[in-house]
Amino acid sequence: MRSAAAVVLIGLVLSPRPAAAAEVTVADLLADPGAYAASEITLTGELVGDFQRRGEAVWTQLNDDAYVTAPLHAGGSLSGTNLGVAVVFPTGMFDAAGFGQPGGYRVRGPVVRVTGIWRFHDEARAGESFLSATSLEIVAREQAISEGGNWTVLLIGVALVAVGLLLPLLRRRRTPGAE
Amino acid sequence: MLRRPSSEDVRLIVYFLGRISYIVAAAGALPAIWAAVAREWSPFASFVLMVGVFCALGALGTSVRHEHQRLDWSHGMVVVALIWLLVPAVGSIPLLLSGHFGDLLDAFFDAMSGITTTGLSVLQDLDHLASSLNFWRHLLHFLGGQGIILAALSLFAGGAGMTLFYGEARDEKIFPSVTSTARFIWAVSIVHLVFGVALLAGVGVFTVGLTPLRAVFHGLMIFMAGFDTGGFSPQSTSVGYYHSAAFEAATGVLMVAGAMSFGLHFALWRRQRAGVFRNLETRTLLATFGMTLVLTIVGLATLGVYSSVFGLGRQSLFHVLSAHSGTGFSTVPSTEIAAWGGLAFGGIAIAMALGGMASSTAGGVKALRIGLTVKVLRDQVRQVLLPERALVRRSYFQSGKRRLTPDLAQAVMAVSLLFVAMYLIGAGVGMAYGSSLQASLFESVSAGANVGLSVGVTSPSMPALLEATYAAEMWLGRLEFVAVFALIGFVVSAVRGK
Repeated sequence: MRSAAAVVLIGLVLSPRPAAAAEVTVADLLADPGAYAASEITLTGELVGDFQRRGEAVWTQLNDDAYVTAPLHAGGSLSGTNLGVAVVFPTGMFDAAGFGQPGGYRVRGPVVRVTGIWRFHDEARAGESFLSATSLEIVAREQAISEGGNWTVLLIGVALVAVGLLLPLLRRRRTPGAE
Repeated sequence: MLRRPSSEDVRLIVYFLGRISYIVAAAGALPAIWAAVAREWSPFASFVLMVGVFCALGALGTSVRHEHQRLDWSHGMVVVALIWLLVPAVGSIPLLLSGHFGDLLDAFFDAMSGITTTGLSVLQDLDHLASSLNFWRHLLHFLGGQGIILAALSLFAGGAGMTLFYGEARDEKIFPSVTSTARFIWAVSIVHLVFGVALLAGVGVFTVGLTPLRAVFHGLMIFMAGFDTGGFSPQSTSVGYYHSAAFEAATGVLMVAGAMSFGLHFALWRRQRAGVFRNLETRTLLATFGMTLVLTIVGLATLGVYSSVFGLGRQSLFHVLSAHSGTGFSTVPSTEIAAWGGLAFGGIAIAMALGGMASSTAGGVKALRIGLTVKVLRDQVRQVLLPERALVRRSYFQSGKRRLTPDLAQAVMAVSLLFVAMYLIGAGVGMAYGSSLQASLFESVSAGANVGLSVGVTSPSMPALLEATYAAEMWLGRLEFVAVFALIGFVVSAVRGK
């Protein structure tokens, strides 16, 4: 995970910054979303969940929280709930990035730096809020998260299941005529 | 004088707890199978452990010898109250082992929230949670909404049926036999499951743009949380994740179905629609829904939150429906709901407090009690205004004309007042920890009415006492006090009785 964090850091340092766009965290954005309405802002975070393909646009969720660099199953520590907002990419821009999978249980999703217009309670979308992306930069590609089995827990569980199912059978054999 | 429970009483209760544990173990096998198919081995192990604990409890419980005594009213209530503690306690094992919770209380809180169909959550990093664990959280909604006891009653009833049925806050026997009623409720649920998942998955593929497999996954999760008026969601941004008016509409249909009593479902299935709108409960629900919707729309319009009429209508309708049905889905972050002051905030909070229909999966005071309370008050006023010897006929229409007896009026008023008291106590605890009156009251109502909307008071960093208070509110609200009070009475009798 250290290498992933380093890639994120390098990506942030080397990436060109659009002059007008304010660099904002999702936490700041959610704290006062109206303040950024119709402004050009830049968000950095992990794309998670699904890539919802709707013709000319691809909708997805961008999370900007502690789990971007280290999801729980990849050695991250508990750091509160997720912080995410919707991002809409033009399909051409999205496809050019060549993303594999969004973030989930087995994958730390692609980490991107997105600049776009913050559509707050957008009239055309009946009150939805989202970032309409105008530029996209990949900070880190998606990364598989390996999962270890918990054999001790499994063995204890199997033993308890066996006890729970066999005990009544044994009891029934010992007491003929029982219920 | 209190009568100390005999050892036979205890043995009988333990025996029934054992039998029900076996049934919950069978339900717990479903996420284990899911985990195995999805090759999520760590969650798989934790599900096997959970099933093992339920099986072991089942074996221990059913090994207790008892005379074949019928389960009387008090036994049944105690069994119900205990099983609604036991299931979240054992059901929290996979949640705790997932590493997504800070401690045992957090995991128990989520399991209690799941089983009571509340939907408040302190789970961390939901967006990286295993699909099988997500399935288990939503299955808890389904088990709790349809009724764990009801599942048991579908398989065995005997003398136990009636008291267990009423203990789980159901007071509408559709068929003469409790077992037939339980089976009907499960049949309704399964039919809704098939159509609901198909509808949501269809909208997911064709409107939201999900892949077919993911659309079925999301459809199943949102169905279980929507129809059972739960409120969990597979992603951290709730229903706002889908950014689709069509998906919200489909979810709305399920929330309405969930807030309807199974008696009403039965009437609609039998095409007996004539009496439905004469029912006091239906009329009350429509009136309170209309009132809270107007309050919310006017409130949001006054605040100028939404600039378009369609946006204002869509967001108001969805959130009032979510609050009134006790579901707790949201399309905006909790920080935004917290900023809805005045009428909009009041509209949502009142909708949550009132709740859906009796004998449905919704929580809150319930429409029938509200309707009867208003009727009692109106009759009292009429009695005062009429000449002294005039008689006011006290009756109401609910699947036929019924007498509004003083005993019924008293019971309705008592439960309604208990709900109000619970909301206030929870709010007091929230305020003691520094939350504002508005936020504390909102969150307490949300927990006690089993809704799940949040203004941010519920979080992984919340104080343990506040967390325990909300968990207790969920338990009390779901069982509508009686079973819990019976358990307390049982314990007091065991200690102080003779």
